[in-house]
Amino acid sequence: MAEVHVIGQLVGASEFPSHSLFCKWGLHAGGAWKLIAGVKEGQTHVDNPENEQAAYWSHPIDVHYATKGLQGWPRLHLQVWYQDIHGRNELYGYGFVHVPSSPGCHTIECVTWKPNGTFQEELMQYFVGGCPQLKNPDLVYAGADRYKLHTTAMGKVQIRLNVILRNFDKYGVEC
Amino acid sequence: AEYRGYNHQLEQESTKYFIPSSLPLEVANKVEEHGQPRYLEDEGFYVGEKPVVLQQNKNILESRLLKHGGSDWFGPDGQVDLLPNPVTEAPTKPWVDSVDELDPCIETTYVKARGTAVEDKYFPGSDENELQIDIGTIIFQHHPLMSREHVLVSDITKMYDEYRIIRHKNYITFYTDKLAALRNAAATLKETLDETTMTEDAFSAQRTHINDFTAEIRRTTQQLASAESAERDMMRRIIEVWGDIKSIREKQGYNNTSVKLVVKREEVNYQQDVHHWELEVENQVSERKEEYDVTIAIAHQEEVRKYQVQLQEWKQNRLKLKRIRKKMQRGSQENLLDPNSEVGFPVEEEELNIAGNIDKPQKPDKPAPFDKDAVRNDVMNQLLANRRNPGEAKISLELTHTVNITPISSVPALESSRRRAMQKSTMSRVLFNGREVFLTDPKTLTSDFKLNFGSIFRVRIAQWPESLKVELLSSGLVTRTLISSIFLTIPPTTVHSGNVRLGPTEFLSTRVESFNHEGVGSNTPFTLRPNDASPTSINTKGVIISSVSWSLDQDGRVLAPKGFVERDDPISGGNPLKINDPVIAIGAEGLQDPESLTKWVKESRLDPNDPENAALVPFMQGIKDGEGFPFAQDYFRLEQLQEEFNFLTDEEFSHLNRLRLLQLRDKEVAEFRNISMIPCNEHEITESAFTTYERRLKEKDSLQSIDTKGLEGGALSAHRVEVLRFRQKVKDAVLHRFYTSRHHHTLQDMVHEEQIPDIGTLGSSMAKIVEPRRPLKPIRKTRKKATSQNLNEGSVKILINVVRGYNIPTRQSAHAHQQNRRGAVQISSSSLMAGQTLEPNSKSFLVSPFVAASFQDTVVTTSVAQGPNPSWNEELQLPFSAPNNDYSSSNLQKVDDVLFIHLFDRVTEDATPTDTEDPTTIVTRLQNYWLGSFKLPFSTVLSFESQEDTELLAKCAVFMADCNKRYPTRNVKTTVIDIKGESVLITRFIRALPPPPELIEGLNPGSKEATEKLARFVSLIPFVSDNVTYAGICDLWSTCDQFMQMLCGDEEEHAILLLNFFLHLGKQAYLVLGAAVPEGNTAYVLTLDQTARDYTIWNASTGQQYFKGDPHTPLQSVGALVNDKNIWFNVQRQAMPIRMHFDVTRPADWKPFFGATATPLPSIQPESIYFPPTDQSYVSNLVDVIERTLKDKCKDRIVSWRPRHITRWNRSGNSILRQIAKGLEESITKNDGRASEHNTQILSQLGDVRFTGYPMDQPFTNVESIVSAVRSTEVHKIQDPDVEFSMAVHIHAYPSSVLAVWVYVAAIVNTR
Repeated sequence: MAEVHVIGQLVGASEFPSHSLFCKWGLHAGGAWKLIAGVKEGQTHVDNPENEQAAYWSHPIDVHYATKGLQGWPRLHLQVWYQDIHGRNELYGYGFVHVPSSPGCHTIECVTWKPNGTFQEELMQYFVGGCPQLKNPDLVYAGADRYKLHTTAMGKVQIRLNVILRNFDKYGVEC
Repeated sequence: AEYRGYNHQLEQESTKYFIPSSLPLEVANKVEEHGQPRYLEDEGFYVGEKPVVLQQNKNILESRLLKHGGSDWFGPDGQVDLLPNPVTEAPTKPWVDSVDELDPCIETTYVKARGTAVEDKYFPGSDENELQIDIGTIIFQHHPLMSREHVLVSDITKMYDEYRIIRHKNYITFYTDKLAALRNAAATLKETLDETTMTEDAFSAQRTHINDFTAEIRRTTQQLASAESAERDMMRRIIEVWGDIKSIREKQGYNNTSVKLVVKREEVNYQQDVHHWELEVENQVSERKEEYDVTIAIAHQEEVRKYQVQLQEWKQNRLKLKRIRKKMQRGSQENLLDPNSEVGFPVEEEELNIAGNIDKPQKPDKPAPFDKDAVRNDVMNQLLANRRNPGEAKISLELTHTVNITPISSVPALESSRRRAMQKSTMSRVLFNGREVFLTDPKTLTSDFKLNFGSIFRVRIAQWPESLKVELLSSGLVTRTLISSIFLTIPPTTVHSGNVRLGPTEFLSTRVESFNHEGVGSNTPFTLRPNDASPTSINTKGVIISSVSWSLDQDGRVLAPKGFVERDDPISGGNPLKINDPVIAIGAEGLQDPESLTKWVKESRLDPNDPENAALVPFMQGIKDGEGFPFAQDYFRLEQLQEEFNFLTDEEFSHLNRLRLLQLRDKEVAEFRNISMIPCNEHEITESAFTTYERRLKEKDSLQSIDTKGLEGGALSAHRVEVLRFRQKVKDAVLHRFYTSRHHHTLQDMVHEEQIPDIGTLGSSMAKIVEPRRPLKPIRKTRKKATSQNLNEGSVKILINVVRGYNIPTRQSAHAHQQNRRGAVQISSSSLMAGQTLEPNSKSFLVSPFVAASFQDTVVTTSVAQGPNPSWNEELQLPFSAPNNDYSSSNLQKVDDVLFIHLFDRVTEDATPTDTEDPTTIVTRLQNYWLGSFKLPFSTVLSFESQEDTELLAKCAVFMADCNKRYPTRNVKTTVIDIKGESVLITRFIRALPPPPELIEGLNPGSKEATEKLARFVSLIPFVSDNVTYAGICDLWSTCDQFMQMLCGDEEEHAILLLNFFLHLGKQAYLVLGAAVPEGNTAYVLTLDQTARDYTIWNASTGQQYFKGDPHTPLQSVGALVNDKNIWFNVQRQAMPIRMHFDVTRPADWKPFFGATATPLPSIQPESIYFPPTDQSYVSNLVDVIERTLKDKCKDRIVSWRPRHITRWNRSGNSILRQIAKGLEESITKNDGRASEHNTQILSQLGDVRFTGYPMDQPFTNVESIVSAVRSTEVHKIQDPDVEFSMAVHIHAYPSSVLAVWVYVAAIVNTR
C-alpha cells in the first residue's frame, strides 16, 4: 500500500486588493485514493491585518492518503473570501495546485483568479460588493473547457507542504 | 581655461565621431560576392511581408552596420534582413459574447455580499428552492365554542365512523364463513380417517392435519366472538350517546346540530334462530372436547410415560451409589494416604450426597376431567353476551343530517351569543423558520366546526428548512389571539407538487378558554351530561388537511435544495448511509430497480457534470447509447486506464491490515479509537488485532438474527432478546448522531478568552484578604486541573479517603446467628452507609473491619480497625491507566471499569490441628468475611438541539443562568436530552403511570407496603450508567416505556418511574435533582405527607428510603424539585435535606420555573405501560442455568478460584438454603424480622456447625455478573480444610421480566 502524508499549512495570502481575508480549502483526489486520516477540507479564520500587505492564517493541513495507483494525485483547491467592514463576505478568488509529488518540504504559491461578470454586475460589485461566482465550483480543479470564461487575476496564496511518501518504490515509482 | 571656438569643436568631433548618413547607400557595398543583388521575390520565392520601417531610418541603420563591417546582416537583395511582421491582424482568442453558447458548467452567478454566507443556515450557491404549501381544511374535533350538544355529536360522529369501518370490513361474515369452511374440511378429514386402510405415515399426517384444523377452528371462534362483541359494544355506545343528545336537545329546547341517528330493525324468524343457536352451541362444545383430548389428555399421558422412565433411572442410580459408598468406606484409608487420589475425592463426595431423596422424580398430577355441562354453560354465556340472541331483531344504524337547526332568532340569549361568537373570523398564518411567510384570508367557522381555507401558495426559500408552523388566529377587535399552532413536516426531496397528496395532521392546544355563554371552552371543566358526577375538560383539538411539497419548475425539475436530508428518527432506523450513498442522497431512494432508476434519471435531467450525480453517470450514458446494456459499464468513469496502472488490485487493497486499522481508527470505532501507534509494516500487524472487533460485529449480526432458543442455554427469553436488540439499535443510532455532531464547535470551544478583571472581581479579591485563614467549615477546594496532554502512564492515580465507618454489623457468638447479621447488611443495601438501620446488639462480639478498594485488578486495603465504629483516616492510592494510554476526556469517559469498595471483617481463627505433636505452637488463620460493597462508575453532560418552543428554551436558559449565579454547585436541570438526542423539558417526563397491577393487588394504595413494594420493583431493574452505554457522549433520559423496554437505565430513569408510580397512588411526590454520595449528581424521589412536614426520600435505583431527620441520607444537597407541572429551584441557604423546608409554595425557599397560572405541558410519557407477565418456565430455566454455571461447572468456577484446596458441597445445606432464599424476597418486601427467626430454626437443622452465609440479591442482567458477585464475597478464600460449601439460587419474577436473583452462598464448617 503506497501512502502519502501531506502535512503543512496555508500560510497566508498577499497581493489581494484588501487583506481582510479567509480561505476555504479542499483536497481532491482520484478514485484510487483513500483518505485514511485527517480532514480534507476546511475553512480558515478571517485574518484582518492592520498595516500588513498580506493576510496570515497559518492554517494546518494534515492528511494521510493511501493509494493503489498514481492517477488522480491529490490537488488542493482554494477559495479566497473577503470580509468587509459590515461582516459581509464576498468571493475574491479561486485557485488550485497539485500537491507536490516529490517528498520533502515545499513552499508553494498558488495564484488565484475570479470570474468577470457583466457590466452591470461589475458596477454592482464596485458599489455594493458581491461577486460573480462559479455555479459549479468543481470547475476549479476539473479540466473542463473553460476558455470561454473571463477572469481577473487576484492575489497569491502561500502554502507550505511537507510531503512524505511511503512504499512507492515498492511499486516501481521512483521519487 | 582657454576658449576654443565652436568651429574648433566641430572639427574635432568630425574626426572622432561617425555619423551614419541617412542617404541611400550603394547596393554593391552591401551585396558581398558578385556585386549584383538578387531579388528573391522576383525569382518566385515567398519572402513574406516585411514590417514597415522609414526609408531614412533604414538608410541610417544600413550605413552604421556597414561601417561596423557586418555584411552578413544583409540579404541577397541588398536590404537589411528583416523578419516578417510577427503581429497577426486578427486576435487568436475569439470573443465569446453570445450567451447561448455558454457551457453550463462554467456559468457564473452573481452573488451578493452577505453576512452569513459562512453559516450552514443558507443554501450554498443558488436559491432557486421553492416550497409549495397547501392549507386545505381544518376540522375541529373539539373547539372552545362548541356547545354540549356539539361535543356529543363530535363523539357520535367519531364512533359512527368506526362503526362504518367495522361494518364495511364485515368481519363477522368473514369469520362465520371461514368457520363453516373449516368445520366442513375437518369433518371430511375425519370421515376419511381410517386406521385400517391407511399406512402409518399417512395416518399420522392426517391426524396432525385434523389437529391443526381444530386449533384453527378454535382460533377463528375466538376471533369471531371478539369481532361480534366489538360490534355490539360499538352499537350500544352509539345508541347511548344518541340518547344523551336527544335528552340534551329536549332539555334546552332547540337544536344546534343536524345529526340524527336512524335505527333500522329487521325482524327475524325465531324458530330458525333457535335452531342455529343450538347448533352453534353443540359445535363449540364438541370442539372444546376435542381440544381437551388433544392438548391436555395426550400431554398427560406423555408425562406419565416420562415419569416412569425417570423413576427407573433414579432407582438404578441409587443402587449404583450404594455400591460406591460401600466401596469407598473400604478404600478411604488408602485414599487419605495417597496424595494423588485427592483430585478425585470431591467428585465422589458430591455423588455421595446425591443419594438423598432430593432428586426423586415427582409423579405428575392427573388433570381434571372434561366437564361437559360447565363448558356448555360457558359457551352459552359467551354467546349470549356477544351474539344477537335468538329472536332479537337485526339492527343497523345510520347517521343522517336531517334535523333542522333551530334558527338564531328562536334560541335563548346564551346560545345566541355563542352563535354570534362563532361568526368571528379565523385565519391561519404560516411561519417558515419562525418568520411569517403567508397569511390566509379570514374565514368563519361553519356550523360543523370546519374552516375551509383552500389556499395554495409558494415560498421561495434561501435557508435550510428547520420548521414550518401553521398558526391559527382568531381576529378580535384589536388584536389577534392564537388558538393553536401546528408544526408541519418538511417533505423529503422526492415529494414534489406533482405527486403530493393532502394529508391530515393532528393538533392539540392546551390553551385555557372559558366563556360565559353556551360554549364549553377548552381545557376548562364543564359537566357534559346533567347527571355526570365529575366535570370533564377537553382540550382544543383537530385535524388540519394540508400538504407541503417542493415545487416543480417549467421543465419539471424539483426545486429542492441539493443534499437536503430530512432529520431522521434514530429509533425508527435512521439511515447513516444516506449521506454516503449518492443515489439516496439525491432522493431517488425508493427506486431500487435499475430500470426504473434509468427512467428516473432520464426524466429528472440530472446535470452530468455535477459531482453529486457522479454515481449516476453510467445510467445517463446508458440512455445516450440507447442500447440494452447500460449497466455493464458502471466501472467506466473518467479514469479510464485506472485498472492497468494500479499498483495492486482492489481485492488486495481491501485486505491490507494496516489500511484497515488506520481506517477503523479514523472512524473512531470503539476498539480502535485513540490507538496511538500503528505498526509501520504490513507484516507486523497480526489478524488478532481485529478479533475483538469482528466478534462484536458478529454478535451484533447474531443479535439481529437470533432465535429465541439456543443462546446461553436458554438463559435469554424472547423479551430479553427483544430488549437487547432495542438497546443495540438505540445505542447505534445515538452514537452515530453524536459522532456527527461532535464536530460542531462553538466559538467558546475554539477561542479561550480570559475574563478581564473588572470592579467586581477586584472587590472579591480584596475581600479575600479579610477572610479567615482557617475557617471552621472549610469549603472543599477543587484540585488544579491537569491538562490531559501532559499525562502519561503512572502519573494518574485515584485517591480514596477512607475516613470512618459506623454501625458496622458485628459477629455473633452463636454460629447460626452469624447468618442473620450478614443477611441484614446485604438486605438493607449493598452500601457502606447501610449499617445504620441495625440496632446495636449488646450480645455481639467485636468486629475487625477493613476496607479494600479494587480497580482495574489492583486491590489496596486499609489497616484493620477494631470495633463497629472504626476510624481509619487513610488515603488509598490506586494506579489508573487509561486504555491505549490516551488521557483525552472522551477516552476517559469510555472507561467502564468500576471502582469497588468492599468492607471485610478480619477474623483470626484458631487453626491449630488437634493432633499436633508440638503443644507450644499455636497456629491461627486469618480469614476475611465480606460484609458489603459498593461500586462507583463516572459522568458528564452535553447540550443538544430541541423540538421545544424557542421561547421556552430561552426561558430555560435564563432560569438556569439565574440559578447557577445564585448557587453554582446545586444540581438543576430544565431540559434534558431524550433518546432521540433532542432536548425536552424535564416536566414532560413526569406523569402518573399505573404500576403493574400484580404488585399493588390487595394493598391499600396509600399504604407503606405498596410504596415499598413499588420501590423494590423499580430497584430491580438493572442499573447501567449512560456513560457506559453511550460512551463519552452524554446523559440521556428515556421515557418509562422505553426504560421498561430496555430494562436498564441510570438514576434518572429509575427515579422517574418510581415517581410516576407514586403519583398514580395519589401521593404528593417530586423528583429531587441533587448531589449524593457516592453517585454525584443524581435524581431521587421525594414524597411528602399532606402538610409537607414529614417527608421520605427514596433512592429509586436501590429501593432504599430515608425518613425525615435521618442524618445519614446519602443525598447531600438538593438542587431542585420537579413534578409534572413545574420545576422549583432551591434558594434556601442550606441544601442538606435535613435542614430544609419542602413546602414549594413558599417563594422565599423555592424559585418556581413557571408562574402560578401556567398550565402543565403535555407529557411525552405514554398513558400507561403494558407490563407483560414474565414467563415462568423461563425463570425456572434460568435458576437452573445459574446454578449449573456456579455449581455443576464448579470445576471451573468456585473450584477454579481455590485451586489448592478441596471443594466439597454440602447437599443438605443446599436444600436448606433454598428454603431460606425463597423466603428472603418475601421478607424484604414485608420488611419484618419474622423471616429471619424462621431462618434460624431452619439453620439449626444443620447441626452443630460454624455457618457463614452470604445472601445476595441483585437485579438480573446476566449470569456473569452473578458469578462475579459471588466471587466478590471471597467465600472461596476460606482456608479451613474442613469447610463445605452450600449454595442456593432463587429468582423472584416480577412482571415485565424484572427478576430479583437471590444467591445464597454459605461456608459450613462442622465443629464436631
